[in-house]
Amino acid sequence: MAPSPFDSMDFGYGLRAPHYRELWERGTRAPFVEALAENFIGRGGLPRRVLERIRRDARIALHGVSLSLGGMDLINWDHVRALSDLAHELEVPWISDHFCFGTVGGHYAHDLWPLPYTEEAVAHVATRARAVQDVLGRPLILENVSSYVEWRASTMPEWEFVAEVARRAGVGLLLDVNNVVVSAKNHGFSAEHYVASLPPDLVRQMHLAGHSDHGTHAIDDHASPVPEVVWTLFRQALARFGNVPTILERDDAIPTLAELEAEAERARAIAAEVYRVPRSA
Amino acid sequence: MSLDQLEERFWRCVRSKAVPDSLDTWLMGEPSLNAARRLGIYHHAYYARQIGVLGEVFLRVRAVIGPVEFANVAREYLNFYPSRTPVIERIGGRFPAFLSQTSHGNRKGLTDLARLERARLDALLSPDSARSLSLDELATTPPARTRLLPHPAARLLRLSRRALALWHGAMDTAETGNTYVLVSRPVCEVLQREFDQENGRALERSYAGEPLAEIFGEFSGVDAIEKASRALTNFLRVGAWAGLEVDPC
Repeated sequence: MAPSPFDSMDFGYGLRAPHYRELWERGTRAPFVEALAENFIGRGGLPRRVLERIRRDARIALHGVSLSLGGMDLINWDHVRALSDLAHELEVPWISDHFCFGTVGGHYAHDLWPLPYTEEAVAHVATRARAVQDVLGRPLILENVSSYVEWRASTMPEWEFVAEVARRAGVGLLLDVNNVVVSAKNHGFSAEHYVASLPPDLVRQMHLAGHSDHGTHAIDDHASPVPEVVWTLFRQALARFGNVPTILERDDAIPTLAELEAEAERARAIAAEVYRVPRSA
Repeated sequence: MSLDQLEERFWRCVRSKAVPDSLDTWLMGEPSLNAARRLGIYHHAYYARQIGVLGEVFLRVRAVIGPVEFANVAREYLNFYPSRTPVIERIGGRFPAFLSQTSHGNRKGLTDLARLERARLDALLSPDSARSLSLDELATTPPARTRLLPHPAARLLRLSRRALALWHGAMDTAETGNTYVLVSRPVCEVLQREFDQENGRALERSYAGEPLAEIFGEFSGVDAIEKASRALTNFLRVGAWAGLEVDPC
């Protein structure tokens, strides 16, 4: 049997523009880097050269934010095909996007809006995810979003929704541990229960990030190091889902590349503790 | 309510300042954080994120009119032209034209400054050229049958000199008239070169698909050949073209 592209213990970070120059010059020390697909589609210049440079030393995964699989607009197949071409050129093992909608009436919100967790939404997202995965020609995995609203129309908890869509669509889950913590705070559910409720075989990748706590609610701002509450839940997730590849995300107050690599190394160290495996890659 | 109706309602509410009375009937909330405040988080994020991107692209326009006024104009723009692109950097495609329709349209050079900043972004977001063009290659082709292909990242603009002065930070410039500016990205760096009328028109004609011989014809005087040859060398150096086509006959 051919090895699954997910069968490895890779830790890395999300590629961001402030690090392009340094990465072009010295390459990455992390074995796994995630690139935001929309930043590279149809684009040359330094960003593309950086990706080629990183590929010499590390695996790259593509992470999208615009598929809007929960949206009611027609799927933007031009965008999907462009994504597929890029994935093919870079030989990425999988592509990820989100459980959300971000388009209405042909317009893009450039945000990841939460869906009502209903049977109608399950069927809708699953159908579209399966169709997109077929065109991409490689595994699609979908991420739970952080959210600030809950729909009265919802008939099931989020963890049931994402698992059911994944099962029906034949796609994997990208578990954003920070998003679970943020949404748990905002909606008053147990983050531990969320993780414990997801089927272990569906989770293919994890995200780690920071958030800001505003007392009544938390904002998923990716502007600070991973807080202890997220590291703690990450331990629980590792124990349940195994050594799935994990990416550290920072989108604001972006630290130096060395700091980011050190934080990714902490993720590796925690996995090493949980699994008692050697720390080196 | 169907998924379609819920999503459409959410979109309208996020983009509106007004909170509908019926909000609590379709979104949950508690006294400590009611539905309106929760929706407000999305409202704020929608505008802040996109106004932030527009501010990064139109950095000098923002500096000229000030950050508060820029945010007002950008917000108006987003209300008028909600994004139709999956790539957030591209949301400002119509911003220069929109700016010209606002009260800032009367400010000399500002719309052209926005066009210049937009062209610089286009240069960054464009694909690389599939091939390169050399002077040697040009020298071996018949000029009357040779057409030059624009580099995908190159944009030739005819701009007011005042816009260029604003670009360089001169707020109180007395510059008048127009000039040609080529924005290009031969490899990684975005270049911006100003050309005089003779050179600018020659490049403009090449981008219009006229044969090389006609472009040469743009140069006049006893040193016309020398000037044309210098121009070609310059254009090649800054990555104006990506290749050539030779008509069969």
